[in-house]
Amino acid sequence: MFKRIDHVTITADDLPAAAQVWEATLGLIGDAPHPAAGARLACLPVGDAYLELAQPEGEGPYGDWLRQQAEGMCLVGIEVDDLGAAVAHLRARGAQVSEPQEGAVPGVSFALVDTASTHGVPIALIQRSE
Amino acid sequence: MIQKIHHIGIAVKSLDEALRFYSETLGLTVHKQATVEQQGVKAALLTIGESEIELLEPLGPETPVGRFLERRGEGLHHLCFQTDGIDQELAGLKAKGVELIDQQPRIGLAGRICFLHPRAMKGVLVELAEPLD
Repeated sequence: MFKRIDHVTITADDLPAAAQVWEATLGLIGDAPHPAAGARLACLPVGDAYLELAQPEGEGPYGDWLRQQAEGMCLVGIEVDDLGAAVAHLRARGAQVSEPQEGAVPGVSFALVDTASTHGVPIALIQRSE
Repeated sequence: MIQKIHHIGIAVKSLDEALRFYSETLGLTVHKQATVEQQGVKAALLTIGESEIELLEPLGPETPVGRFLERRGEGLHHLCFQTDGIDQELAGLKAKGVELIDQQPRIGLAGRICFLHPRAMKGVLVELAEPLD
């Protein structure tokens, strides 16, 4: 049901500078930074997952959320086959999970698992439509 | 060369309690569990797809993970990437002047490992690992 790590989000106060560090140090190369829901994002593929460098910019729900997070790694995205079923599974076992919603990227829906259930780790359950 | 995310390290107060969520609730399989005195942790690795989640309980408050818990509480601790050549990777990092915690690879739960300093990576504690098996 919980298939794989989809991505890890890392906050950046200067997106081009952060992307440069990851490329120069570990050879991870990002795509062109793009806007999404109050943030600017760059994705760096690594294996079957990616790092998402995220800088709050302007107004929007994702940027607002990012501003509340500590610097550094701030979210783990876990891919699921069936978001509704995954949310129901976790709620049935006492975890607090948000209602599924559309993501900033088309074709992606997600739900957030409360950090009280995950030992402090913001986890987004991610479903990608074909 | 960096191949993939090997694991995501999570600092927890109690390994048993954390396993209740990550193993029992999420249904992830515990692939390895050990006490690593040298690193001051009791740890478990759980498989998720091609990567793993590593839960770390400190052996005491004066260990690195113990100090992390005191400062920041439970949560995301480090990010480990798998490489097929940790010696070449470390040599390249030294040549570039990247600030390291480990100057030489050592044996950890994930194989031959080394840590980069978070100052070098914009606040992210990065580990490199070359698995032994």
